[in-house]
Amino acid sequence: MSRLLRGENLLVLVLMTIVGVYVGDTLAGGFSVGNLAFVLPVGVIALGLGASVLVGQMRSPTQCPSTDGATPPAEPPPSRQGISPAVGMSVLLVALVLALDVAPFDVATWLFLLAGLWWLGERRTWFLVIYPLVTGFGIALVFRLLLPYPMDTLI
Amino acid sequence: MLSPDAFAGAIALLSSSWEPWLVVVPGLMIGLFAGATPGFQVSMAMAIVLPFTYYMDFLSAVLFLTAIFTGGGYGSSIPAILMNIPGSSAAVATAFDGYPMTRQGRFDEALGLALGASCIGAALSYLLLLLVISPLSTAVLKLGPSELFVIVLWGISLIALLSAESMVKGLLAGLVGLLLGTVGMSATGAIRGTFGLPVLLDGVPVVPAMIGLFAVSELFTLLGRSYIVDDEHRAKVRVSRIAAGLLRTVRYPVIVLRGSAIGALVGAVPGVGASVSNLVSYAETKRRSREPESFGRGNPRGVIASESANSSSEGGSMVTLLALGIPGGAGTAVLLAAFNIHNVTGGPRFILENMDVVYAIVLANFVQVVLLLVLGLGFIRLIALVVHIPVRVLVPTILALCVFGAYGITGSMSGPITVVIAGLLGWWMRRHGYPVAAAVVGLLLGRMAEGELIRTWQISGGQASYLLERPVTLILVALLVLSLFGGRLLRGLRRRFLP
Repeated sequence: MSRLLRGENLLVLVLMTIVGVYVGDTLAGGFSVGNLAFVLPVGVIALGLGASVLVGQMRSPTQCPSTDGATPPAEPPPSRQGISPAVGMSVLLVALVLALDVAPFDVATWLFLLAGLWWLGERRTWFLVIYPLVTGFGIALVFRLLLPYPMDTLI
Repeated sequence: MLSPDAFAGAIALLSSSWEPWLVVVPGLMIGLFAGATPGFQVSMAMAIVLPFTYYMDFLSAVLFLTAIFTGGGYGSSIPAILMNIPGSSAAVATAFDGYPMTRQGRFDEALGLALGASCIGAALSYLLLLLVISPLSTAVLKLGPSELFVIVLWGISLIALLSAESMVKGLLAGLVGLLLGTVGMSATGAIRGTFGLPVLLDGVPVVPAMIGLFAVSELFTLLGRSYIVDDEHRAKVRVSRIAAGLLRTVRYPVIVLRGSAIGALVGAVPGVGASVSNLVSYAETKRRSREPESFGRGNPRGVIASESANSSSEGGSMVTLLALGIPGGAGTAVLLAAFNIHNVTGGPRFILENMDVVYAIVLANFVQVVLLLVLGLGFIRLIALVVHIPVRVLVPTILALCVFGAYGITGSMSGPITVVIAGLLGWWMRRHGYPVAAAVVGLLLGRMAEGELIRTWQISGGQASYLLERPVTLILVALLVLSLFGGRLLRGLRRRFLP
């Protein structure tokens, strides 16, 4: 069971859950051809593919099931090196989006850039003072001028 | 096929006033900037400047918007090559070989190749448009919903095959994308997958999801490095290498011609366009290559195939816009809006009555291509400096731009929230070799695929025999099956019959 909830298996399970919940919600909407003609077959095939990946992984955990072994990996999986900075940046990104709802856009962006630079290893004081301030307020100003939507900004 | 009177009229239109020409250079610059900025869509830039066209005459307005379109077509290849972030779905296949070239320190050559292929592709498609606008528009009109449905499936299967280490992973990602593309209110009025959120009634915000899946996930994978190109020597921008790449394009005339032909034809299909044409051209070039294993590892032919096809799609999509009044994609939809502003309706009657204007648009686009060559060269030098920016500065800055870009598209927090969710999912998918490109193309085409399937069902009355009366559908189905299983079949036959 623990093997099923790890790495690629967990991702496949999440994708299968998304597909399963969506197909279930579609079925709840009615059994008309217009509603099901596309979603049901595509959903069933996706679930089948997901199950085949899981079965393949459970049988041979070190090898990915492949029906086309000659195709080179165009998007090689990244190394483990970037995981912890990425997790930190994810948290900051979520914080930025939440902050945009309550704080002025320019202030939230300035703080995000400051925290992001610090988290990723920038330690030059003058750069940490100037760059986030200029870029954060600059981005917010340019987009406020370009976009027709309301944007709460300090400047 | 050419009307000499209308041709002379077009030249008179273009030479009688400076006004149409004054807007071309600013249009190209806006397009280059918008295309090259991850999270800033070319169609969005066109929409932003649309109100300015109120104050222009019809020809100037169309030339201004097509200049943005042309500049953006090339501009979107720049982040694809430099950062593996396609500026739009049209540049997905460009990243397959362009980004590996960057990692090898050959980014200036790749940018030159992309510029050359884009210019030639766009010029050829407009030449084709000039020659065959009337017969081509008639042919496009004959494509029914069954053909369009199979074309969408073909596009998805191609990207699934091309971008994943395994077909199963590629197809799974593509199918999940297709399903998510149908979230919201369906064509028949059924509401699905919204979970009570009104914002999802119109579906998952596609562009923010694309920004998240492509840009955010790629930025996360860059973390842990100091620069995009770590070797300082290889990160030098050399004009000679850019020019060499540019000139190298002409050494592959077959790939350029094939890519341009595919781009013009696929681009003429409403709703499909450049998102599919770059993949079809890339797949075809890889299939015909003597060394297919070198694709995805920095083969210049891959960049040329993709860029010549996506740029020539512009001319193709102009066919349907001018001849049928149907926009081929988001960019041509904005052009259609400009048509409406000037009380112009595209269609056979428009072509018949305004052939001189149509020719003027085509001729001016030839000039735009030449200007793009000049402006593009200068712009490349500027934008290629991105490889000298430390990743610790680049990543937070572009993440902030992505969030603002998404807000700009939706006008609410649904855009930024979608960016974050899609970005994290995309990063997770990349870590396990699931192609985000397949999911994105699925997301883009899901609603269209469902609509065309339902229309096919309605027209056929549920009778499968209807498909036997559609030879083009059958040919497309055969191509789809061949794409999926042709390689395996061939290898099986080789194993059996060859020692």
